[in-house]
Amino acid sequence: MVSFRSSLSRKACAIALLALYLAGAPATASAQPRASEPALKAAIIVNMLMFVDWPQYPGLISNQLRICYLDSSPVAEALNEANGKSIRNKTVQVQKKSIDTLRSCNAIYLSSADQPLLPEVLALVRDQPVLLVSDSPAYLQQGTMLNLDVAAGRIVFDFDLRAARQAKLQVSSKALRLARRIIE
Amino acid sequence: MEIFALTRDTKRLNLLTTSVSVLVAFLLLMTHQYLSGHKQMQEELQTQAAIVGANSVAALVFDDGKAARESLGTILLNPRILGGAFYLADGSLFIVANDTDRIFPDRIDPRAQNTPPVGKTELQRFTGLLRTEISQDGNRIGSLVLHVSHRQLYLNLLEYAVGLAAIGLVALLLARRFTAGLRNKMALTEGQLEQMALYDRITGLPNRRFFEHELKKAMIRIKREKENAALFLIDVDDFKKVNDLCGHHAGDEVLGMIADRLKKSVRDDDIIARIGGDEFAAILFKVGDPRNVERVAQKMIQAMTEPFPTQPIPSHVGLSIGVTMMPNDSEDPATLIRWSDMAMYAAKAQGKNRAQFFSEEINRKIRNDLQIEAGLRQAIKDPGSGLYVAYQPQVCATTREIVGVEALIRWRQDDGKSVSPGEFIPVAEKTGLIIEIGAWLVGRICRDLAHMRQSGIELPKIAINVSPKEMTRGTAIVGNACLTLTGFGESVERFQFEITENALIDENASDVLKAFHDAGFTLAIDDFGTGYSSLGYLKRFRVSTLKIDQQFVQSLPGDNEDATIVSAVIQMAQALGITVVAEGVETEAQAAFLTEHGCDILQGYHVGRPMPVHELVTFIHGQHTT
Repeated sequence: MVSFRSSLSRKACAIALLALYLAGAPATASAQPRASEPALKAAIIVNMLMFVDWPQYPGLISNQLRICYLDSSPVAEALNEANGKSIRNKTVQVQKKSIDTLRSCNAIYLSSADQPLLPEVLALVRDQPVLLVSDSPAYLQQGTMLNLDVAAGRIVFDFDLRAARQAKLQVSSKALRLARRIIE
Repeated sequence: MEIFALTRDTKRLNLLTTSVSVLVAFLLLMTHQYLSGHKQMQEELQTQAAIVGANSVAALVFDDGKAARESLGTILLNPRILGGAFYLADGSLFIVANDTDRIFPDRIDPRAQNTPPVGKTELQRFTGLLRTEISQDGNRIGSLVLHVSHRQLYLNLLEYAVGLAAIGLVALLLARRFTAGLRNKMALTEGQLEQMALYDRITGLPNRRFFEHELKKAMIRIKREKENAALFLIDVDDFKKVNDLCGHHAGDEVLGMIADRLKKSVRDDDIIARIGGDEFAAILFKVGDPRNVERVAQKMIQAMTEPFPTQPIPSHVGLSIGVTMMPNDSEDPATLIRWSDMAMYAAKAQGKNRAQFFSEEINRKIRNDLQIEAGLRQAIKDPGSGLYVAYQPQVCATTREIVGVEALIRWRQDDGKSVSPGEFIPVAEKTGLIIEIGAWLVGRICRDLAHMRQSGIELPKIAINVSPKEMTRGTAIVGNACLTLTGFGESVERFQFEITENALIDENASDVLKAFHDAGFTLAIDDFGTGYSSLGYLKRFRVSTLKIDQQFVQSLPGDNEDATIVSAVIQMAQALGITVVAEGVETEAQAAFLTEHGCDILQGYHVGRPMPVHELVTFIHGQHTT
């Protein structure tokens, strides 16, 4: 599926992110007139958590949504901003983890710099309910489930539903409908 | 008919009450219908909005305008929804659809959840804004504002109202149809009731109530039109006899015939009514001169001369009519009726079967009579009162010695003024007080006799007048007299009762007269020669005394005719063994003549005036000394 953008897309996205922060805490920093690409991506990642359901699994804490990342990256920096926010009555926890301590995550963000670690991560989380998120072009084929991309001035996302199903994750059709591409 | 205005007003009020209640019911139903319809519509729209909102969460979250517009498009399929707009969580406008009137504001207050915003421009009539909040799992995503039309609701209400009205109309028509028979019967009965309330059943004339109402109306009319009118109160003379003779049914028929004859005697505009058992009333309009009124009254009386065909014998009645003129005599209806009544009684008193106009004289006389009656009642009750007995001496013609007295009732009131018997006796007779006076008289005489006995006087004879009215009471009068006399220890032989000649003729009198005789009283004929008696009566009733009326004595000895009559009467009486008393002896010449011709007893001013008891004592003592 391909979606068309409205001319107000960027501003709207920024405002959506702002609204998200506002929903979580009354006194927040003022919005930036123009959000950066990492910020937008981070917003989408965090928002997507609204549309994914995790099963019960040892290690997963039910009132938390843990997002883990391996290395600092622009997007990871942006993700940190969402730490402590409330999504679906669960608290968002954004943590940097090493590959050894990579467990009890609801989602893992893999930046382009994490390329070498990708196979190891995939092996580690195979058949576990972890949402693998990336924003690098080829990563989807390599095993991540949600990949963000930029197209025509807009952030778009693709889903690999097979991988998601394998990880026993349910993705709401509401979000799927808006995806650019879905692999089944 | 104005007299039923009150009933009509009540009916109208009932109708008004029913109409108001129906209207109120209608309004309440409509209000309920509107409220429930509105609620239903709101719920429906809210639900649809909520569904669309839920479906659009992702679009809003991920800023997907196309997807959001698609969702909005589906809800716009609902004809009640004219346009819609998505707003983000901060209140800014995201997507808007069908906003031709430009009503969706650019911003809404994110805190005013579920409260519709005010439109940017004025909304169309019968439309409004609806706002639903969109959230996902506790996170507020944004708002959906819809422009909705209430037209359908109002159309439904109109349909409902028309339906109600139509049903109501059909129900009313059916109900009317079914109750038509009953309502007709009701109307008929009401008419009959009206008739009964206002009209006399027997004659079909207006009844008393209706008449009084008409009289008031008439007075207003004549005052306004400056006309005059006459009021008649008509009493049928001797109607009782018709009922007694022919029965009440015949009596009713006669009343009906009287009513017809009366109606024929007046004009169509004039009113005839039956206001009592044998009493009628009439109002004559535009009469002009009182002579016209007199003419009509005579016409009525004339109409009664022809007998009424009743069984077993035809009936005759007369009319006593009392007349007042309006507005001359009075402007007050009650006064007019009272005065007509007085005039009617005056007509009766004067002999019946005549008309009498009311005058101040009548009014005065009747008032006077009432005063006398009241005074008499008081006087009878009070022993030391103004009533007393005057005794007129009767002397032997030859010896001029007192042989008896005639007892005459006298009345001196508290203020010293005497009321003549000529004035109060008729009143007493009319009111029936004469009976009590008669009884009182006997007692008083006995007391006076006792008083005289103390002075050593025993009267040989006391004569007492008996009025015809007393005679009608029957033999009780004799019994009472005997009782009183026995009570005082007086002997009946000394008492003589004087009755007029005409009393002898009355058929009822014979029993009473016999009773007098059997009791031991003697009888005297008063005013002999002035009445209708036949000489046979003198023998039949064993009259012991005859009193020659004073009119014959007046002209003695000059008038030859009277002299002859007197002489003849004396001779006849002597032959029959009846004592003769001459009344009204005022001169010695008269006395001499009478004595010469054999009269037994003389009574008159020449002999002695009626005097109270102590004067009588003096008189008798005086006689003895001379």
